[in-house]
Amino acid sequence: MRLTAEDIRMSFDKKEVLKGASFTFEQGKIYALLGRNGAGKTTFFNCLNEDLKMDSGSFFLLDDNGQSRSITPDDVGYVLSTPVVPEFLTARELLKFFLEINEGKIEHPLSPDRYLDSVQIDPDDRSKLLRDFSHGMKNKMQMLLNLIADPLVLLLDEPLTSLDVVAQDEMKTLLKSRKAEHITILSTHIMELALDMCDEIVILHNGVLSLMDRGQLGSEEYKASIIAALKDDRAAGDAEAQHD
Amino acid sequence: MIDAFLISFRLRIECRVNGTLRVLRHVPLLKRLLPGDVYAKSWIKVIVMVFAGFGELFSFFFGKIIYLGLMIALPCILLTKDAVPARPAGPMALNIFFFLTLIGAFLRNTLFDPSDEMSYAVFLMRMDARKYALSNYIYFLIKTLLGFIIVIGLFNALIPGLSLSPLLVLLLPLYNAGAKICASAFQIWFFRRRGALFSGDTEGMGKLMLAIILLLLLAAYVPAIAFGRGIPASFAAAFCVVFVLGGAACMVFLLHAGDYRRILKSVELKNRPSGEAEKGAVLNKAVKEGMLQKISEDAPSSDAERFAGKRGFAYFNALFVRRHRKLLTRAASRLAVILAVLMVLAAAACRFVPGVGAEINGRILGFLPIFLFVLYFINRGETITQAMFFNCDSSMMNYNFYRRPDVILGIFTERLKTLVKINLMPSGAVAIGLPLIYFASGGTERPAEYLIMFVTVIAMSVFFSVHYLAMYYLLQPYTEGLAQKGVAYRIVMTLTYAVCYACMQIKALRENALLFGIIVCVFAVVYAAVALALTYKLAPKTFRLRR
Repeated sequence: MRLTAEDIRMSFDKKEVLKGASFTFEQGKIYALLGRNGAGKTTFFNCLNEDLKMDSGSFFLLDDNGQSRSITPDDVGYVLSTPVVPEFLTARELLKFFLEINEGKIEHPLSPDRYLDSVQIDPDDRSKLLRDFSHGMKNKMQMLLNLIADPLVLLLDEPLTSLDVVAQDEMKTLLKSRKAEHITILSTHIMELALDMCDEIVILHNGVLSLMDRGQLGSEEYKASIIAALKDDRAAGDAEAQHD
Repeated sequence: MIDAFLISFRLRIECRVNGTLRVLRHVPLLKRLLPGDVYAKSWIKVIVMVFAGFGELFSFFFGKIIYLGLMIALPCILLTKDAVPARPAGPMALNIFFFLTLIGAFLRNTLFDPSDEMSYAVFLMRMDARKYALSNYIYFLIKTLLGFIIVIGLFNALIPGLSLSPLLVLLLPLYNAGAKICASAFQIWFFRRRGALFSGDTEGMGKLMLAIILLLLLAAYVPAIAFGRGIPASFAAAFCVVFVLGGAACMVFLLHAGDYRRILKSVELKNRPSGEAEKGAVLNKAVKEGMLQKISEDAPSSDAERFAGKRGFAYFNALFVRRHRKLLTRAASRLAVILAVLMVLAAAACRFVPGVGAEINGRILGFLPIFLFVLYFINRGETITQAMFFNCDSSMMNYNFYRRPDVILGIFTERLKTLVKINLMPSGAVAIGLPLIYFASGGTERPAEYLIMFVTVIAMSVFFSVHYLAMYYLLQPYTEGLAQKGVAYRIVMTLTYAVCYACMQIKALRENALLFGIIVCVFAVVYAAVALALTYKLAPKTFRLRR
């Protein structure tokens, strides 16, 4: 499967944030989306997740036979950097509800407690209101629901930043272990995370997406080239000119 | 101090101007006229700023005219008109003003008011809290003084029976300001002892405060209503002088007190709902009411058995209702009890107090349109949908499974049942109570009238439940954090109010109450059918987070 973004354009008032962003993401890879503050990474995710109605362009999925189909909400999971969970429920209750309304959609469902075991939520905490969960624990819950729903495309906005080092390590392993069946795109400002975890680095600069080809570059050289690309307005300007 | 005031004053005007522009840019037609960089366009800002300046000038007088007009002048005029023997309005007005000022000293006192500007100025921009609070407070006091001198003078000249001496016209505003200053000094003293301000929210103080306010209200109005008089003018004047002198002394205390930052911090923290504290967003009152008293405390584990039989949407909704029962069911059931008691009392009065029954019997059918307005006020639709949004949907809608049409509509159905049930508690009391009163007052020879009364009230109640929930799903007016409601939603709700109000005012409806009842029932059925059909068709598209 491949996810194609085709000529995505989006502007707020007169400011054009996405100026015809196009890219094809492949199944089995983890992509890092890098861009400067305000470059439009979240806007891109919001368009993909249908939270925002884009001005023009489309997202579609291509299977291996070249058949394309449009993307549905069930195809996408979006994990926000600030976790949002319904505060009036307990962890167990949220999972029970989630599993019940997704009956038949989840292959081999487990009991809520088995799932909570898998992300190491302490048994004592499971019948506490989510309101009283820490930031990191809320983050785990949010991630857990998205992992169970198992969407083809997983979008992660600044993942791992609020998790402790052990949880970070577990999450990395988890994401890597699931990558074969998924298209994983994570946005981050942490270069090390991008280099360490991701197979490809895509930069969003001046409203367009482009792949940073590593070629034969060493780690430091590669980093320098990414920073140079993000600094360089002219190069991106050229890319824009090509699109226009 | 003057610098601090000028800076914070400019900040306030700037906030107001940008806030106004932001709202204007949400109005569909104006959006095209106002470009995105409107905040940087100085000429537009100057225009709005001039309006804001007028608004500030207006605020000198407008509130005071309304306050004095409604709370004092109007009752005095009503009580002295056609009174035999003639009663002078002056002493009554003086009495009411005297006691209401004492209430106002606590309720309408801005020294420690939480506001966005305060938290920006003092905590974000690190202004000196004492200078900020005091300079703005002195400005507020000057506004109060000048405003009252002019407005009281105006009323004194316009209302013939008032005839206050010029000295009193000057003394009363001074008294008002003095009382406020004394109250502020008391607040600081109280804060030093209890770590919180004296207000209804402070633990253990709610009932005391309510009792004091009630007593003062009684003291203000009972002498006027029962005896047509008030405390003697010389006596009142002496008290006023005491408060003016006390105010001056307390002002010295205020100028030297050093607790401002601590107090403002506690006020600011309290003003933030718990979950939002991290975001640093100070939400305004409307939103806070939506998040109203949050989640009912008790061990959730004990709920496991209670919901053992429920699954899926019903389970989810039942938990929501259970955890928000303070906000959802408790208020409604209390209201139901109060209404039931009132209805029974009214029925008893009709039965046993001579003359009342006959009087009511002829009119009660005509009350039906008025009850549309009453039900408009007692229905909990808006508060409950706000709670649904801020405490549940604003987070759940970030998960894609929650946006599937079957999930949106499944939960909608459960919620509709809940909302209808909640609203039926108080309106049920009315629906049974009205025919009961009718019966007790002598009854009718046409039993169908009882039935129409009952059914009409029930239909109104169901109409409001469907209306608020359907509008929530179709227009989804709320944004995360900010209290800006969608324009379309606001228009619909204003129209709802207008229609309910109009029904009460139209005489023809009151005279043909049975016809009115039948129209309401038919309308409610048709409306519910259309609204539900629309919701089931459109909600999967319209029920979204606004970003």
